[in-house]
Order: sequence, then C-alpha cells, then structure tokens
Amino acid sequence: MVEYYAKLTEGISVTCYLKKGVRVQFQNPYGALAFLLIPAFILLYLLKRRYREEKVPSTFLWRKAASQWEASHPWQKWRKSLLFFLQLLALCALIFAFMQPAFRSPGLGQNSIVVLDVSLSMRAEEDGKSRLAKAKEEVLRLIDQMQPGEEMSLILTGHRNEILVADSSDKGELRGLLQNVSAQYGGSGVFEALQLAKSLEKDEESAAITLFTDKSIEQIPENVRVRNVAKGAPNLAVGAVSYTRNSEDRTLSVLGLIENHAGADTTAVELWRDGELVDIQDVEFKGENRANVIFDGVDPEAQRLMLALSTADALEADNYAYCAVQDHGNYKILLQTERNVFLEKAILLRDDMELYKSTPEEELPFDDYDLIIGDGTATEILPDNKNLWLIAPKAENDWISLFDMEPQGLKTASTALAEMLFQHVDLNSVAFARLQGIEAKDPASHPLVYNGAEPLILASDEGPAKRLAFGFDLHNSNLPMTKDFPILVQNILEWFLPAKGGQTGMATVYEAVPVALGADSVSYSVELPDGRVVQDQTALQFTGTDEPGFYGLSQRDNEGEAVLQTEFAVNVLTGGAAESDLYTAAMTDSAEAQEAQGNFSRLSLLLPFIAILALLLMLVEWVVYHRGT
Amino acid sequence: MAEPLFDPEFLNQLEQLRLHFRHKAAGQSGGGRMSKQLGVSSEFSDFREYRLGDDFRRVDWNAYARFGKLILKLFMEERQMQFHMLIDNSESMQMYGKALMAKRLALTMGYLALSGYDQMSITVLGETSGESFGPVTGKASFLRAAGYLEDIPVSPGTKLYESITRLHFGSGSGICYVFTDGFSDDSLEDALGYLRYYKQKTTLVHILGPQELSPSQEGEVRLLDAETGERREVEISPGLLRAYEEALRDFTAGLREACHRHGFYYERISSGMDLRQAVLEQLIKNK
Repeated sequence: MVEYYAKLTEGISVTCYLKKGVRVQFQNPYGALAFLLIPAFILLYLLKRRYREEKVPSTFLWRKAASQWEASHPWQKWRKSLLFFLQLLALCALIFAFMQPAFRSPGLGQNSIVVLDVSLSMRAEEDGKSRLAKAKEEVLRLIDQMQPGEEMSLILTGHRNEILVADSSDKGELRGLLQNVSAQYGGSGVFEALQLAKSLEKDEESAAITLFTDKSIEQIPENVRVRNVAKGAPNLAVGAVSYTRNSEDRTLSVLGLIENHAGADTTAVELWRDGELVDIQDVEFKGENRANVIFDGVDPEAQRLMLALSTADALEADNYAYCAVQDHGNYKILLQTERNVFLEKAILLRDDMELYKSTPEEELPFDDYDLIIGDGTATEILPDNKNLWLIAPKAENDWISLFDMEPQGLKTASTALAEMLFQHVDLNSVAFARLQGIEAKDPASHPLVYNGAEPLILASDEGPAKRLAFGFDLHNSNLPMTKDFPILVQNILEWFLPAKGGQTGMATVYEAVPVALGADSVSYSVELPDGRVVQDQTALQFTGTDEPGFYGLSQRDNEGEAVLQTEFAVNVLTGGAAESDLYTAAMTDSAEAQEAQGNFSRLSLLLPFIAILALLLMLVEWVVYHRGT
Repeated sequence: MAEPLFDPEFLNQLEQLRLHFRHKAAGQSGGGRMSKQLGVSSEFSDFREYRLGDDFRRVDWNAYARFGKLILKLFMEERQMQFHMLIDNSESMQMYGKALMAKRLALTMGYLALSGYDQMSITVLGETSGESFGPVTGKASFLRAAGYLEDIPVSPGTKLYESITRLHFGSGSGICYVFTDGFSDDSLEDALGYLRYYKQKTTLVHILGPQELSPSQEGEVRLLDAETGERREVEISPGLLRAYEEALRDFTAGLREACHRHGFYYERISSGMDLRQAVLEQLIKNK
C-alpha cells in the first residue's frame, strides 16, 4: 500500500508499507523518474553493434574451438546476459539510492526528550479517553520501543515546567513515573518547556525532542516533533461566580458567567449552597459565546456557593465554579479626628467596617480595634501591634519625624505597595494648601509618595502591624472631594484589612493566596478540598492551591487555638488561558499531516547500504567481465 | 594489385635452389634429379657444359673437337619420374596468400623436377577441377607452367577427394605434391588412400595463413566462411583462443597421422614464410 503525504514545507515523500509498523520511505521520490533510463539502457544494449564481421577462409576450426570451449565452460553462454543483468542491477541500485530510501521502524531511534502537556485541557475526554491518557499511551509505546542504551527524559509542562526524570534508560522507572502523571488544572508553558528541553539536548549528542500536547503550536522549534493528541470538542464552562449582598435583607445575589466554546446554545446552570442544590436556571447564549446567570434571594447565611452545569461535556473540570462567602464579622476601625466626613463615608463604603470615632485628644484602649486612623493626632508613642494610619500628625512620634516642605510636584514611588495603594489615584491632580514632610526613624519604612525628593507619604509593613503616614492634612487639600478619594481609601483599607465580606473569596488554581494573619495569630492551617490539612503554615501567602474547590483557613494563636476561621475558593482558569476552548487548543492541520507528524519511527537511511550494493554489483560485473576475457 | 606469381626475385630463388640440389647430387651421376636412385643408362638425354667435379669420362670428345668446349653427354641414368603438382585453388586458399604460396611452391618443385629431366604435371583441385597442365619435361616448360598457373580459376568450394579421384595416373609410380589448406568438404584421408593406391609418393603440403596459425582477433566477431558463407558469432577470448589452438593442433595432427598411415609426408607451411626457407627447411630437408 502506497500513501502519499504532501508536506508543504518538506516536499513529497512516498511510503511503502511492508508490514505493520515497518515501511520504506523514499525521501526523494522524484528520483524514480530515473527509471525511465532503463528502457533506454536496454535499447542501447540491443542496438549496440556487438559483432564485427570478419571473413575467414574457414570457420571449421572456430566451430570446433567454440564447441570445446562452451562444453568446458557452459556458463560462458550466459556470461553476456549475466553482464547485462549485473549492469542493469547496478543501474537500478544507483537509481534506488538516488531516491534516498529510508527504512522506518517503530521508535525514535535515538535518545529522546519527551515534553508532556499536563494542562487543564488535557483532561478533556475524546473518544472515551482523556487527551492525557492518549498522550501517555503513545509515550509508553515509545518507552517500549527504546533500544538498549537509549535514554529518555520526561518533562511535564503545566502551570510550571518540571523535569520528571532525566536521561533514564530504565523502562520500568519511566513507565512508573509516567503512570503517576495526571493532568493539572492550570495552563501550560509549552514554549518555556521546549527551551528547557533544548537545554537538556545540549548535553546529549543527539536527542529527539517530542512534544505531546493538545495545543496548536505555531512556531515549532527546529528538531522538535509535535504530536497533537486533540481532536476538538464543544465545551461549556463556568467562567466566574460572584455574589453581592442585599443591604436590606442581606440575601445574596449570585452572578455566574457561563462560557460557550462551540457548545449547545442553551444549558442549565445549577446553584448549590453549602452542598445543597437550591436552584436551576436555563441559560441561552443567543449566538454569543458567553451569557450571565443570576440567582437572587440566596440564603444570607450561605457559606459556600457553587455553580455547576447540568450537562456533562468533554471537559468536566471547568463545569464548576466555587465561591466562599466571607465571614460576616466586621473590622473595627477607630477614627481619631476632629471631623472628617469624607473619610468616614469612604470608610463605610465597605460593609465589613465598623467605624468608631473619637477626638484626637481622647485616649482609648486600642486593643479592640483592627485599625487606628489618627487624623491630626499627636500621639508620641505608637502602639506596636496595631495597624496605624496617621494623617497629618501634629507631633513627631517614635516612628516618624516631621519637617516643612514646599510643594514641588508629587511623584509616586516605584514600589508594588505604592502601585497598589495609588492604583487609579492621581495625586498630581490634587491641590494641596500645605504639605508636611515626614521622615521615618525606622529604616524598614519606605516612602510611597515624594514631594520632589522628600517623602510625603510613608508606609511600613515589616513589623507585626502595618503603618501608613500621610504628611498632609486632608482638610488642606481637595483630595477628599475628588473621585479618586474613595478609591484611595478602599485601597488603603484593603491593604490594612483585606476584605472579609462582600468579596468573592476566590483565587485561581496555583495562585498564591495572601493570608492576613490577625494580631493574635501566629500560624494557620489550611484544609484542602480533598480533606487533607496542611498544618503550621506561617507564610503570608498560601501556595498550595493545586485543585479547585473550597479551602478552609484556620488561624491559630501561639497556643494552637483557632482564633479565626475563614474560607476561600479556588477555581480553574477558563477562557483566559484558552484551556476551555477545546477547538482552539486542538490541531488545525489535516488529520493526515498530524498523523504524519506524530507517527514516530526511527529513520534508518538505506543509502549507505544501497551504495555498497551498487559497488558490489559493479565489482562482480568487473570480475565476471575480466574472467571471461 | 595482386602479387605476381613470379618475379625476378623468385626466378633467382629457383635457380639457387636448383644449384643447391645439384650440389647435393654431384657425387653420383651428375644428373640433376632429386631422386636418390642413381645409375647409368645408355639412353642419351641431353648435353651440358662441363663443370668442375663432373665425371670426366662423360665428356663428349667429339663435341670438344668440334666446338673446343668440354661438354658432357647426359643419359637417362634412371627412369623418368612423374611429378604431379595438385593445387587446391578454392576460395579458402585465396586468403592470406595461401594460393600464391601454393602456386609458387608448385612451380618451385616443378622447376626442380624439370631441371632433373623429370616429368611434371599441374592439376588444380576444386569442385570443377578440369584440365591439367602437362605432363611436361624440360626447363623450357617452366614458363608455360607459370603461365598456366596465372590463369587458373578459383573454385568456390573444396572437395579434395572428389577432385583427386577424378585424376588419372599412369601405371607407374609418381611423386605427388598436394598443396592445400586442408579445409575440404569431403575426406582428405580417403583422397590420400586413392593416391597411395596409384603408387603416388605424396607429400601433403598443408598451407595455412599466419592469421590462421595465430589468430589475433579479439572481442565479439561474426566470422564469415569464405567458401560456405556460413556465419558464426564468437566472442574471442583468451580461453577461446586456447581452444582454437587446440583445435588447430588436432586438425594438423589428424592430417599428419593420415599421411603417416599412408606412408606419405606431411609438411605444414605458413603462407607468410620465406619461399626458400619453406622449400629447404620443410619440403626438402628430410628427403
């Protein structure tokens, strides 16, 4: 059976199947045109004037001689034919060599580096098995076809790239490691993974880099083979879920974003509250690739919200979205000010704030408060363990000193904190009547805003509590009256006191979740969606968000007692990483081209053998000719 | 232009040969015959001038008295021999100068015979062998014999037995020279038997061309038989040449053995050989 593959970039090759898995491939099939020389060769041979005529007195002696000669050398009769056939065979061998035959047998035929895509989309099931399972089957075949001495390296490309094993010739080890590979929930860094593979290749004399993926790779690096295991399938996904709380009856309205990746035009969406199905709604896409669904009047006491698609599809993992309703406990904020209505209103924009006010002169115990805002206070000794926001302090204290400054133009520092706090805030559009410079006595503090070269706004987040100092009086500027002011206040409050209520409490898989340890908390534990508990965590960010679902965060004091219990939800990343669009992720070339790309086999060039055969034929022909002569 | 049958050089060679034979026979009877048999006969044959060494008793004193020269009387010292020159003039003989050599040898032997006062006749063998020349005697007949040989026809084929058996020999014995290349369509051995029956002391002069004795062809050759027109394609290789040599040896040996069986002489002569050498070293040396 002969199949023709048209490779636009590689020309045409012709493959002849000899038996299952074994075939001869001709790299230069155009060389077969040289077989047209064969009839010409035969014609020339026949037309060649072979005998010259010579008159002799008598052929009597020649006849006798020829008879005796042929009787004792019978093969001489066939010598001329033998020479002809030897020359013809040699010509055929040369033409065959010109066609660049190569023997393809299963296997890669050299050391190999396998890059395996384990992103979310590899969980998609097509033809009864997941894409990852298909890829693993092919890798297993490659492992089985490894010859003694050949080595294989395995690299997984998921949310991060990982070398599973390097330069292993132990088939058992490779099979075992491969068997334990499962698809992750995030995206993949194929390009970086191939770079990593290339770096491994440099250490090897020759290695075949093979990428098993479901992504369409636009620019395939040199010497990299791509095996796309995807066929493409329709898919729906829950892109996002959030809630808002009705301020009157505190019921929740749950909003879901449903994505349509070539799926059905309608679908049913389920709302689960604390593990119980409470509502189902039909969603119509009306030709769009996304639609919203809203569930109103959800129980205000709900802790866990989940949206789920009623109908299963190729990719199950993105059919669910989780949302943890934050704790109803509010932050307590003490605002020490003569009067600052704008600030009060800005603070109270958050539902989880309980605002208490006092005058700057009043001395109140700070223990009950999560944040102390000193607007024009003159406290000299600041509490160490309390979040403090000083606005235009009237006196120096143990943290900062004050000095006069003239307006010189404001500039925000290039720090992450400054960027976060002043996001969407343009201080240069604010008019200031008076500015006061502040200088921190603590080297850990760092300016956020400069007036010229002098710090105007300082922050400190190294200690047990956070501190922020404004060197200008809000009353002496029009900042509170700008549209940026509430944003600034919310940014500041979010920094001091991460929202517990009104936020969705969501993160995406593999995203580090910041943990705001309370004043009394020294560590925390996290209960994972599968029930396992990660204990004694102290990092300000939790990075174990490997699965979608609900995570329980329990902050503990130095006696191990739980002092704060919160939850957060982790969801898969859908549209942004193109993992839910199973067609975009799939191959775009023809199935045959992909089949050709992916059918790995070792290529053994036959040219040396053909050339040796041709030389041997010519040598035999020379011997036969000279023996005869 | 074909080589002439005889030229002054050839005549010169003939005379030298005659003198050579005469010198060899000088101790016997003074005759010029090549025969070994010498004797005295009363039959007058011829006169010739006295040469140093001749038997003084044969001087014709009457002629001396008349002419003042010493002249010998020659007598028929033995019976006159019949020399028959049988020449194969077929197509095959026309190649490589074989026919020319045959004619020259025939003329040479004939000259010697005539010089010895023997009879000589020439017959051309062939499919249509016809008239013979002679028998003649005396050296004066030599030129006529040469003229005869100049115009003999070429026979298309060779049938030696048929040709020879058409010949008529007298009751007495004779000496026969058969000049041929041996390529006969019929049995040459049977022809020899016929000659033996008619008491012809025969010498088979087997004439072959140098190219037949040592072929120099090579490669793929289509051989065309000059007489039969038969074509034979051969690839001439060293092996085939060795086989040819063997075939030639067998052929020659066959003819030699046939001659010996009949008590005849066999000589193989190359047509490229010097005539004098051929006569002295091969035709005459053992006789």
